[in-house]
Amino acid sequence: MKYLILISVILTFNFSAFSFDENIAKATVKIFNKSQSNSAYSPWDYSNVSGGTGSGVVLGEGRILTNAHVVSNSKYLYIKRNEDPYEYPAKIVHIAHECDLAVLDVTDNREEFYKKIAFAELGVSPQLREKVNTVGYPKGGSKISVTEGVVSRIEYHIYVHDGASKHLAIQTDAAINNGNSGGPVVKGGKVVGIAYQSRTDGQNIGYFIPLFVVERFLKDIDMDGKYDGYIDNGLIVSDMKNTGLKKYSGLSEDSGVGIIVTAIKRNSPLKNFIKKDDVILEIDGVSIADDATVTSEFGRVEWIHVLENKFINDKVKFKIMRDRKMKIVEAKMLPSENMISNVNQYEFDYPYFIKAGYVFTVLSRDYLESWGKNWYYDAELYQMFHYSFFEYMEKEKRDEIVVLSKILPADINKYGRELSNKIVKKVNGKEIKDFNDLIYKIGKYESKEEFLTIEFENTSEMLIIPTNKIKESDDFIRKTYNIRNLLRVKLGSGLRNSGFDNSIIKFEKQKA
Amino acid sequence: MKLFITVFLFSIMVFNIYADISKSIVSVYVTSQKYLLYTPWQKSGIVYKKGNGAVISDNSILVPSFLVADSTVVEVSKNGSGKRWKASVFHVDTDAGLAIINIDNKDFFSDLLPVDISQNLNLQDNVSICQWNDNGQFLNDSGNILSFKAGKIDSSYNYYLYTIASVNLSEKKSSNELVFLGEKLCGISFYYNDNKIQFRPLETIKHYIDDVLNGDYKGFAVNHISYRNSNNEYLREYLKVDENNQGIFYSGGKNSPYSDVLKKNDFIYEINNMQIDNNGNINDSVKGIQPFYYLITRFFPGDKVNLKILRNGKKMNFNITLDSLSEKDFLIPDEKYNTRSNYFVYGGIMFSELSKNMLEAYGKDWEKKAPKELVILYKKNYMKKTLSDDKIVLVNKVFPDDINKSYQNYYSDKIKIANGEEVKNLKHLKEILQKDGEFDVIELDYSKGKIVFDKKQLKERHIEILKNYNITESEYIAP
Repeated sequence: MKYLILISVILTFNFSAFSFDENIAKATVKIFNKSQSNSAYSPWDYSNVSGGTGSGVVLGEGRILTNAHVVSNSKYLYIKRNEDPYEYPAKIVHIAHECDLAVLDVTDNREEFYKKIAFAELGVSPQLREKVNTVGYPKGGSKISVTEGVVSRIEYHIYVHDGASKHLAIQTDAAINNGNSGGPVVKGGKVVGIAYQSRTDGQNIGYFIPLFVVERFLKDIDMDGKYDGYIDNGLIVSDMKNTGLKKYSGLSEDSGVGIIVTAIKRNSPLKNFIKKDDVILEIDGVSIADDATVTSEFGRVEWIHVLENKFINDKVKFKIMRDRKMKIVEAKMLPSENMISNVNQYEFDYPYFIKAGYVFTVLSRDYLESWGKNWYYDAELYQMFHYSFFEYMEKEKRDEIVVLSKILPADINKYGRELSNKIVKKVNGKEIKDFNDLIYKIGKYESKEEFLTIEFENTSEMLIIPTNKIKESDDFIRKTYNIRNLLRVKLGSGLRNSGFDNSIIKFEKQKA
Repeated sequence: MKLFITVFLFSIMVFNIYADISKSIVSVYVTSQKYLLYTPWQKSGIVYKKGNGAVISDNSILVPSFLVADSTVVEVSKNGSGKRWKASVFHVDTDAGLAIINIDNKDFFSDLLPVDISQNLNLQDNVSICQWNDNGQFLNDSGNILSFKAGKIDSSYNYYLYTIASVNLSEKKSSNELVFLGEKLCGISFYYNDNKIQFRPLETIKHYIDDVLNGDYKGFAVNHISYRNSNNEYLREYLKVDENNQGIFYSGGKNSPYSDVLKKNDFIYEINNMQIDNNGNINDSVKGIQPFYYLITRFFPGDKVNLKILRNGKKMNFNITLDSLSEKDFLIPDEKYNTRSNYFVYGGIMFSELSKNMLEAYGKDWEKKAPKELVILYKKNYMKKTLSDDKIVLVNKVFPDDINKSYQNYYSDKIKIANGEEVKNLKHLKEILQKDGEFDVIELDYSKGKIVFDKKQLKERHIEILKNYNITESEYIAP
């Protein structure tokens, strides 16, 4: 009996040792990142330095693949190989926050590093119930760790790193813990994914980024040496299970295809090609079922899958039904970004402008998240409203929402302190278009008028700032609140359009 | 001996007061039942309430309006006896928070005395807080007037100058108590906590009773003037108002009697010859320093108040004709008396009109938990009179059926357009949908949803859906 048990233990051991490739251990590195981030709420402040570790897999020279979140906001980065005491300084070569991937390279002792390392190969995407191993350096020890699990689900998920982007993800019951992030998920000695997130409310529910996403990222950077990103289609669509909806749109009742476009973002790259009420039947020959799904190598998945592998400047054919007539529309894919950023931003310095102690900034998700964990409920009502609907407001002329984020008390602002978190509407009676326009208009009226007046949305209260007292108060604010620069602009087209005089920026830079 | 007489006299006096007051107070028993918000053809559980009413004339009893809200049965008893008499609600003013009930059988009043209403009430006055308890005992606790405070009561539209008194109530089981100065009524309580009682002001009660007994009810003039205080010296400089002038800045508005005559940033310094200070307060000889707007509820709609203002440095003088507001004037009504909401089930979709009750159904934190866009609609239109009967029409929820596939996730979203027309209110939506045609097309404002029904199919399914979900009434649209 004893004998039997012993055999089975040995066998198991042998079996796993056999299935796990030595090369993968050599190709899996540990990444150390010291990071520091800018504060969206007090943008002149930077956070304390925090340290984190993750894993990475070396695919080739200059191609160390890891998660974006392992290396985001990096100030100091180094890599260690398995069973090697040396710390190799490293840098980020490409980073894609929307799909949580990054490519790193070693900057010092490079030859030495790549000489001893093995390069991992990419395999083929695993099927449901297939066994996979996650390899990396999770918490609980310092040496390399291997866990085993099966592929339990393949579907679209929000990637929590940027908080909004949705891509294909594979669920597994192989343990994925802190520190595993960025490490390879392996089958048959080849990489089939990158471990990146897990559920905290379930047991052993981990997710990894499938090859489908990894390969797209690598292809994107290989095409022109830089990362260009995904296409945000900017459409709101509805499924068409309803027969009334089908008949009204000109489809037959038993037609199993089509989704209907019910709204389009103001800056959607498709806005010149697709119209509201269009029924999309096919994209590049792939038929879209009336429950808004498509068939794929991963089974039935959300229809957005069809656009996942498109790149900037690609041409995509849409077969649509418009006004009950079939039509083919060819659309060029262009980059697009939300006007109010709906993703968590990294390596980003938030713009701000302080005048007479009034702090102005641009509304963004990060700004709203400074309300805390329940920001979605707790953040200021009107800001949340814009956050939800601004992109779709057809009559809206502004490109950004500028908020009076807080007031740094000084004599000059003693009567305006109740107005924090209001949305700026007008400067001296003139509507502002964006943040740079605010700076421009304040600069203009400050030199011309006796008073600056600033009006807000949804209140009749306004700021009245005596311009002859501004300089004195600005000096006071710099000193009292330890703020070196009272301005950090957001560089972009708005600056030119508003006729902004950038001597202000130069002046502020000298101060730094 | 002297001491003995005094004590003796005093006790007689007390006895007399008790006797008189108790003849004017009756117990009011109310059974109430609300319609449910999300299945408005059904009623919620029955609620029993007990309060105290004041006999004000040979057939009228004054009660707080919340006591009789959503009532199904109202009964009264007197003199601490268990016998109940049937009553009916005669008149309600939910904003003033007062109502009058009548007793069908006039014999009820044979041994009761109508109360007198006190002429005035001052700080430090000793008052009696009176009630009948469940055992038929008459309770009388004495209290002292502590302060007068201008504010909204139970989220009223108007500001009322309510009264706060200190008292240690011997029992708190009734919805309300009655407050007396000597043997005269001076208040109806609405809140008691921490040995302090708050009650509706004497002036409001007097105003209400006179108005109802007069026949043609006019109600209370409403204050919906918006203003800014003038402590900000930069604002003064900017608007060129000398620092020696006391007053406030008018901040503008729409559809109010003020907006017709005043201009934004007019400097208001006097109301009916009373000086307004930089914070918007007036100094009342009895009530102390109070916000000027509390005065407005003393007037009837149609009454005039005189405002003195400075405009561009020039003194001007306006008589403003005051108006009234009721829940029906608002885009998003706040029904407190009859809380049944309008609804209309069509294709398994329940359409309704947005009301404050609906928002409040999201709980105490409704301003955070309810859909932001609806909260904003409420806030933007609060205290603003609509000059039409426009309402916000919502897709409230969907009763799932084949006919409404693809739409079953829509809820609490505003309808923008139905069959090409802008939807004004629920009645209007119903009219639009009842017109002949092949399809109904409804567009939602926030989710951007699009609802299309094949009218013929819908007709076939309509009765089935009602049956399946036990919807006994497919609509209620208040006349």
